[in-house]
Amino acid sequence: MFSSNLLSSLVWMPIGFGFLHIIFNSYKLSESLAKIFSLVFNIPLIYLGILLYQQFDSNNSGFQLIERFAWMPFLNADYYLGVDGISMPLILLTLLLTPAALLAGFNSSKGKYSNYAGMLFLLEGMMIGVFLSLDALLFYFFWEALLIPMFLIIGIWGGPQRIYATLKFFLYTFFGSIFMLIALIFLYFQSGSYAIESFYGLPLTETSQFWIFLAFFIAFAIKIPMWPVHTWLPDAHVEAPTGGSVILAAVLLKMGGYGFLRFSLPIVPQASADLSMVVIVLSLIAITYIALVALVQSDVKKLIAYSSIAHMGFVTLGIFSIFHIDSFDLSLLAMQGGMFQMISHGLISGAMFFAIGVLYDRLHSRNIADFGGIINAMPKFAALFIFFGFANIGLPGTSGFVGEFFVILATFAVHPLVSILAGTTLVFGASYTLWMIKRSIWGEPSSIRIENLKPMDLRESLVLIFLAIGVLALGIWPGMLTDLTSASLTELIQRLGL
Amino acid sequence: MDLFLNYAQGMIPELILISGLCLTIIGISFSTKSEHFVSYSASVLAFLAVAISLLIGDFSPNVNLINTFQTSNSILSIKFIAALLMLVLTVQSRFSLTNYKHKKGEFYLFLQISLLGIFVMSSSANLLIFYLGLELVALSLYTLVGFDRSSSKAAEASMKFYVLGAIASGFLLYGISLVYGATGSIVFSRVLDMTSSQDISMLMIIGMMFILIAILFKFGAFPLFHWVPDAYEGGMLPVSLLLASLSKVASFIFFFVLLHTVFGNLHEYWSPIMMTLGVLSVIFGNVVALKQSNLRRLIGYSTIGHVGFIIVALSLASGNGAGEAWLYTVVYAIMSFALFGILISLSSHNYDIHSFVDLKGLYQSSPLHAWLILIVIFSMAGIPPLLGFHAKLLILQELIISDYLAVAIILVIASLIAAYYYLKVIWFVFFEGSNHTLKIRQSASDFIPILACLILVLIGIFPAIFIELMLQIL
Repeated sequence: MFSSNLLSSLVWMPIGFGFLHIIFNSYKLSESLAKIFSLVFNIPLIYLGILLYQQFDSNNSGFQLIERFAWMPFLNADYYLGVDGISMPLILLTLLLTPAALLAGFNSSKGKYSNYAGMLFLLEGMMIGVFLSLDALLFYFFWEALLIPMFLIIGIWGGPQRIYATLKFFLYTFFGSIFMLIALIFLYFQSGSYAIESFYGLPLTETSQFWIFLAFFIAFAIKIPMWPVHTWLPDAHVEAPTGGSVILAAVLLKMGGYGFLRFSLPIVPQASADLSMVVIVLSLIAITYIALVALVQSDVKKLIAYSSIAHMGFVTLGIFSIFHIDSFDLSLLAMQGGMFQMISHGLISGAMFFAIGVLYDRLHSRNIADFGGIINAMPKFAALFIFFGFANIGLPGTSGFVGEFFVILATFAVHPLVSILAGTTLVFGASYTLWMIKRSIWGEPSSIRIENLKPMDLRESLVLIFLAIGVLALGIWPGMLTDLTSASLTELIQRLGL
Repeated sequence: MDLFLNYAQGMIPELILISGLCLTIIGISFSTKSEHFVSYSASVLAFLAVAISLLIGDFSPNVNLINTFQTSNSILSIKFIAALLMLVLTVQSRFSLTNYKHKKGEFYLFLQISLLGIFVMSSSANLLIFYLGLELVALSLYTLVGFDRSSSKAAEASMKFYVLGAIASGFLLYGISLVYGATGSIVFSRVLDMTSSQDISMLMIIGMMFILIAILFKFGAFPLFHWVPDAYEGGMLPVSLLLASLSKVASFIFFFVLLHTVFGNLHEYWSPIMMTLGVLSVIFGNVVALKQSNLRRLIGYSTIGHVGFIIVALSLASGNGAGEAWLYTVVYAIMSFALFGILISLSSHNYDIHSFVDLKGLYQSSPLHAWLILIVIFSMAGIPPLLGFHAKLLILQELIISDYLAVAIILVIASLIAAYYYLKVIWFVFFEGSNHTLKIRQSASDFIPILACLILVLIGIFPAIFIELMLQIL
């Protein structure tokens, strides 16, 4: 049924569901019915995801399942969708994490669940649109448009400082993307078309390469986010509702990494190579310094937010270290590491934020000092939380290990010092995660409220167990993911002439 | 006689409008009780008839009546869009005027006069006829701004607008007389011929500069913007809508007819000046808007920013800058219809919005209006997939292709500044709760805002046909 326009269905079906939910809200549909609808709507989406996985040929490095027709003829901009090994895992991640975010909002949507689900569905469709667009203008369309639902999610359902946080989030990302728009128009002027492929291999002068790289870099570095433009993320995470945090950490940040792979590297390879050392240094600062910042946080959501920044440092480190690695196999390993880290961090941080949401629903606090001894009241939760904590540290057997290990191994070829600094994550990551777990989970119950905590209900345990299975599966069998991405990443490295 | 009929045929829309005017005056004078209804229906009928006559009328395009009156396909299209906008404006005005206590029949009369002025402006073939049209628009605008006679703010705004406008008209007339002194003619084609030669007299340039001043005033661009915020704040809501939509169309025609056709050969003289002032308008309007707490003053200042975009695009000689400016003007008019339409609809429910604080809790009291405001505001901020984004995108693209990269960067940074106060509107509508539990039901006055917002979304997603149509007009 969807075989001929599978990708369009993946983009527009969630957006349609989103509008349906907003309409439901104006007709005062009861909350519980809206909840059921929002879950039922996920069934066809997951089905489409499975179809996509079946039809995707992982040996083919180019774009597949292409849909293309004229959209704005006067601009040579097409409605042009296609999937390759880089976007494929990110789409599956989006499809898996959106239900988790929906479930997270069941008890915390301030009586407006239908609108909340509507915003999340709109966001889902637009995020998939970002990953599938092969036309730069269409990409920019989705990239910008998804700021609107995210702005509302944080602003309507967020915490006490939500307005400051959501404005900061919006303006920061808007600031980044306007320069990207200028760069895209400039590239269109050079190539005569908005198709991303037509930007590849353009004969650009060294100066224009430099400026284009900078424009893209501002946009993607803010999105991913890198030190020193990361300051919007902790605020946004702390104030966002649980579901917003899950989507933000799990998928939205990955758009930055995706942008580097799809735009920066292939379009301006020379400038990327010239400036790669800067990016590597910034990534190392994120990995070491931000991890130390995470150590001193008293707010558990802020702690995970900083840990996200540190982990995304591995993505940029992996992607940009290939310019300093001579061997092809190690380059591929570094790329694979960055890619793997994106997916693995999506699962782990999504689960961590969900788990924090479980606690917040009960205790209405995110302060580590207010927790303590949770294991006595919620043993199942504690087990899962500790599991995700270990995955966050990068314990072998979990997906967190694979990406970091690939990157640390490959960067040894850049310079041993880079590898050693990257390796400090194992120490710092363990410090802040384990210390946080010690203070919040272990020990005697710190108050009556903790003794009387309700154990997890079915909804909460299902989400966490499901994500735990994903983390374990990727950790034990990383080939599941690397096989999907290897053909496209190989082609990318070859295109860079390395 | 045949020749006369031939000419009269080219003026059918104007003749219909003038007959409508006469009928309205008679109607108002004879029916004192139902003057509102009579005047309203006469205007609607007149605008409908004009629009239909422009749509189906088969009059030979290139009429040129002894160097006073001319038509062409693009002039006819501009007139059609202006008539359509005026029709919608009239319909929406009614919801605002029903609450107005004093005599209201004349309101529609002035709308008709201003449309007639726009028609005369766009069809004029010499400078004095053009001036006549411009004054028809301007005089009806001065009157309409002060129409609410119970409000002292309206009186103040109208007075300021009138005095400054009179000075601007003086500049325009003086400029015209200097141009006449330099060329010996006020006919467009003659002036154009005279400027195509190599030696251009200083008198000519000075005359043109005086005309530039009048254009900047009518647009309300930097540095002649002082009447804008007052007029937006003081006038009634439909008048602010008129200022934001049709008055911008008139200003566009002013700029296009004079600088592109009459002084087209002097491009190198006016283009840098207008480009600079356009950029300054964008910066100034958006920066000053940041500090406003009154919503209508804020819209006034943000208009200065939008006008800057139009002026920058019109100042480009190469490419299709004028077409893109026209698109921006029309898109801005649609956005104004949505925004002021919502405000009119809310005020007809006795929910008057002056400052940001009044917006608090709108999401609870009326979700529909809140969503509509969301769409308009994001469209004004230039966020895709809404139509406002396309208008900005095309101008940015033209700038980059014409090698004005620095201007493009300044414009996008100004858009970033603008995003802050636009987001502030959304924040007050959606994120701030309020104590009052007023519930606003939907009513007929919501139809036009809903339609405008649908246009913003749907054409934003499928822009091809609309944008090509608009670009082809010029």
